[in-house]
Amino acid sequence: MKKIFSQKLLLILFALMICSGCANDQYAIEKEYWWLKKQANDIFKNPFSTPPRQVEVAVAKFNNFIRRHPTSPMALDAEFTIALIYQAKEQYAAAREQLNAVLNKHSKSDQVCAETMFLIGNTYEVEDKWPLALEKYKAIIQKYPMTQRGFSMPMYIPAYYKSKFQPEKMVAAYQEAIDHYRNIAHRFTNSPIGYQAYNLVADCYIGMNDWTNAISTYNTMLFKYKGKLPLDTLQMTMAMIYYREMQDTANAKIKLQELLKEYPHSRFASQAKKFLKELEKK
Amino acid sequence: MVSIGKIYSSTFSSLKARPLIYVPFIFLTVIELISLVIVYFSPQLPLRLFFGPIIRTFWGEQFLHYPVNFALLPKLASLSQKVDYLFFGSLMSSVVVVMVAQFFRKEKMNFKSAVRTGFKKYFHVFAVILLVTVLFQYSMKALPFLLYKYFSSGHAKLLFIPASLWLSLGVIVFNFILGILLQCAFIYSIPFIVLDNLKFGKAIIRSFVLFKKIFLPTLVLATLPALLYIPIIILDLNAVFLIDTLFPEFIFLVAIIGLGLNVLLIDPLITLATTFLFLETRKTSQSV
Repeated sequence: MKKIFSQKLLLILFALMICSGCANDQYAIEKEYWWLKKQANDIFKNPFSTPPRQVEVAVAKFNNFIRRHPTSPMALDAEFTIALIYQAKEQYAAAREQLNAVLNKHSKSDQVCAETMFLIGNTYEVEDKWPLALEKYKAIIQKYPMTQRGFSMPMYIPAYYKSKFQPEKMVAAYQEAIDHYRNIAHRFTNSPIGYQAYNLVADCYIGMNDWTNAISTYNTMLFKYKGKLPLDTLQMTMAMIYYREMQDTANAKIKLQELLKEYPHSRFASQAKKFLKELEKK
Repeated sequence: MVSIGKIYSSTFSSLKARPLIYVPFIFLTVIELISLVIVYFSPQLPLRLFFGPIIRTFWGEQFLHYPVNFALLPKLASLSQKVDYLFFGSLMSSVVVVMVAQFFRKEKMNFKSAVRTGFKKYFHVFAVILLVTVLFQYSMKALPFLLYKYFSSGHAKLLFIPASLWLSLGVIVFNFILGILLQCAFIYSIPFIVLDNLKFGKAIIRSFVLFKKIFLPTLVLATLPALLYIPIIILDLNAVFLIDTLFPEFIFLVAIIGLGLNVLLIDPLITLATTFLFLETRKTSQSV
């Protein structure tokens, strides 16, 4: 009886092990997709020397994956990857066609639409058609301002002008971003979104090397969010700006002392102590 | 003092003359291989139904997904090997010690009586291996904890070596040496329990005394084969790099090779050699 029982148990265990990996579960889908992405990465590493046939096969496999697993989160990534493959091969029209199809398919999801529009804009940008790219980026800010992409988009435009050494357009773009974020900050003052918006206003002033306005923005944040959110990062940043950019050692010391008094266990505490010691020697 | 050469000569000649001595190691290899395969399939259905909540609780949801699960595989494999060695290795070690003693005394090798003795002494040997495992688990956390305390208080270097090197290579080397020292200190407990019929406590004390007496030969016999495992340790530490550069299943291959190396080569060499050293030392001291 014992022998039969242990034999049956071994058989069940063996069957379980054999069956493992046969089910078309999430793990199997992830495994399949990982190997697909590897093929795509091979194309991205060297797009110009990848033969057209290899690209066709990769795109077909991605489309097959999307068809077989339409509800999987990786299906959306697969759709984007097809567009990126076309973009890597400089087939910009095909990339935009793919992305427009995604836009139509996922029109109800703001996050997906914002991301897709960004990628469409990106194809124009890579093609050196900046006005068309800018049109798409501004559309994201207008239509999807509270999505992750939409929220960061106003900072992307001045960064582009900075990379192209166009300071006047950069400053103008920063000013637009400041107005946009101030608007959001006023609407959502009592929430972390408001705090984040004020932070980006300060980042804009820092991008323009306007240290006085950056400090002023931080002071506004300290006033509005004291006791509501941890502000040690803010105080540390202010101390750094005072010392490095404005050569104002006195105010830098004040900020560091405030940080150590209000947040003695902050992750910046040891750095602040060290910094304060250095300042006190001067 | 018995020479290392003579001990290794006895080890290899015993395996050549009585290959039956190898059977317990083969049995342990099969057990550990089954465990490793279970670990490999644990994030997949149907084993996921049982292992999923455990992995999720202790290590996180990300390790139930491909290919991140392979980053955890070396740790899980090591854990399963420890458990297998504790439950099955306790028996196998005793069987091997009895068989080596039979060979040493030029007696007829009796596998059944060796297994019977192994079962009789199982709980004492189990207790020794459990103690060594627990001591090692806690001791290997000690150095990283102390180093962290030291470096987070503001020190950048210790003995002119930077913190980054201490916290990476230093910890690995320390744990390797610690493992060998712990193994050596307790290694003679098993022959004392199995051959001299001593109880758990007395066997451990006698093991410490004997280790102190034959410190260098024991250390050499335990360290030399263990050095063969260093490439596996290096590969395990670079699991994430290997997943990205080669393919995720490579980690599983490394685990299989590591298992084979450990149970089929390193373990037999250490167990047989130290048992022969034990028997030779006892023979020498008895004749004196």
